[in-house]
Amino acid sequence: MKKILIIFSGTRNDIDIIKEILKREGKNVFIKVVFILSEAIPSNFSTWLMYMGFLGEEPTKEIKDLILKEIENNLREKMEKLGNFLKEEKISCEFQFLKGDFCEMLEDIIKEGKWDSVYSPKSKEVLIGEEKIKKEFNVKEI
Amino acid sequence: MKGTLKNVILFTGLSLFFIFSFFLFYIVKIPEIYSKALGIFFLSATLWITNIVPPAVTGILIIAITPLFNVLRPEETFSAFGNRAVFFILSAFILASSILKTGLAKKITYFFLKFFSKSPFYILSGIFSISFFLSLLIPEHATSAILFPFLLQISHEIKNKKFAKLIFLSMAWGAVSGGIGTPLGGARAPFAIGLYQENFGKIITFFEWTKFAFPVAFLFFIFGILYIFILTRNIQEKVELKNKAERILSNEEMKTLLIYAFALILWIFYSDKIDMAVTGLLACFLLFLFKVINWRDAQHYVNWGIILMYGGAIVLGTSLFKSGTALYISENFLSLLSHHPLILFISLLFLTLILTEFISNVATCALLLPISYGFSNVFDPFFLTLFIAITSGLAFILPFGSPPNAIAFSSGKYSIFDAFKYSIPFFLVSPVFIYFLSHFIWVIMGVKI
Repeated sequence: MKKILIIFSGTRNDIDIIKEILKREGKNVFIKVVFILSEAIPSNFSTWLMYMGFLGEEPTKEIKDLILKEIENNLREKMEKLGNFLKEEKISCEFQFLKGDFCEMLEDIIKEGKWDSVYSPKSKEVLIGEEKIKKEFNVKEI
Repeated sequence: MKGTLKNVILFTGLSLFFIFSFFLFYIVKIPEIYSKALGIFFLSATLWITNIVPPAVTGILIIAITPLFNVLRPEETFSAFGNRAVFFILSAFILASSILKTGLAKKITYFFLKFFSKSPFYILSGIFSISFFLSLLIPEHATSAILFPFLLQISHEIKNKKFAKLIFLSMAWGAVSGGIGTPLGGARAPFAIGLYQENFGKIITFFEWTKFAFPVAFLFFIFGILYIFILTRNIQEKVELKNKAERILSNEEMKTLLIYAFALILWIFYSDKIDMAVTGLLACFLLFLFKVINWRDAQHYVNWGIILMYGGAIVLGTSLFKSGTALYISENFLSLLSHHPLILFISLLFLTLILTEFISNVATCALLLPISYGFSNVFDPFFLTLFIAITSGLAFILPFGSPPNAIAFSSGKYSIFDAFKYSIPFFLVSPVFIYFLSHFIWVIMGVKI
């Protein structure tokens, strides 16, 4: 049985991606799905709000926390949906939810186990160091 | 802004800055002071459009470079920065910080929203109305920051995706529409009032501005309600809004309400006797005196850096007009437009509407108002001030130029395409409303065109 690691971080984490991976790897697989809640997304936005002078420090922080919470809720909802889908497909799987710096965590998670394939959705905005890590560990973008 | 486009604008703008500031007056017959003033204009426009430095830093640069290039004397430059508009903006921001901190607006919002419960039309028109009316009283960015948590909460209870998108868009439309109604809704109006006073020596009072600006805002309000009615016809979902706020006002909230009411009464009824910046500053003092906010709150809730941007913008506008550069451009390069007032009006209207979608609406006003003053032989400067300041506030689509759009977009509930799709009617009616109001209603109300 192949061991597949899938790492989600942004908003592109649909069932369609899992379907595509199953098409490539077959159904005789063990899938570990890791969701990383990256603070970089709301931080970029709140930094921009401050930079442009739109809001003061306090309301900007409040908005940043709200956005982060919103992203977390969305990711957890999607994680549940993916879990149900993989259950229906009778694929053995494991889920993990992490918060923090995407690049740092990406490296740690990959090193944790021995994987036949590692997948991560193509990001719209590539974080500093992301490309290097993906190349180093042969992460397939989908 | 995409990298390549940004680089092209940056390269072109900086080239124009160098050519106008250091060479052009040697090559062609243009007075050195005009050429240098235009050089500073191109530099400021480039920095405000590309945002390679924060807008406040561009403000600092303008204040430094204007006397350095001898466009204005140092005392003229720094006195422009001390304009009443800067202090009015400062007081409006501090007052808004008390509303944000005490949570007064939250209670008001909950109180009113419960009347709009259940149907999508009622909920969206409720959000739109509250956003509109709050933005008449506090800066539109504060309105958006206050409403944002509620909207996220409401959106969790909604299954229809279109409905969820419209919740955030209604807030942004309401804030943008309300923000143009009084000088409190954003910094554009105080900035324009300040620039008008600096260059023409005449004072526009709070009441006088509101008298002409509110009908424009109100027309957008009526349009917004009708548009929301059309948009929600096919949405069937019903939502019950939960009222979580306490009904009784706390001590701090009561004090904020009273101080705000005191300031509003002075602004509306006594602005011909007491300067609106003086009223604003007095209200701020009362907030500190009655311990509604402390200095730390003021530091954390207000983006102080942006005050420098407004100061820099006033210096830029003053330098272009007082040096005679604006008039020189209109007489020598745009004289054709001077002979066709309607074409000139339409050109300024569309230029302002398009530019404000892409860059900060204060920057739009700061760049176009002084240039438009060059046509003060065609249009009355008071008319130009109202027209450009109000039009530059009408950024309904893109998240780049206006804080309500940026905050609504940050919800992640809709895409740029959705913003275009649903907000384009506001963009399309804007020139019609502005033309109608400025050429008919304002004229009836006594504005000279």
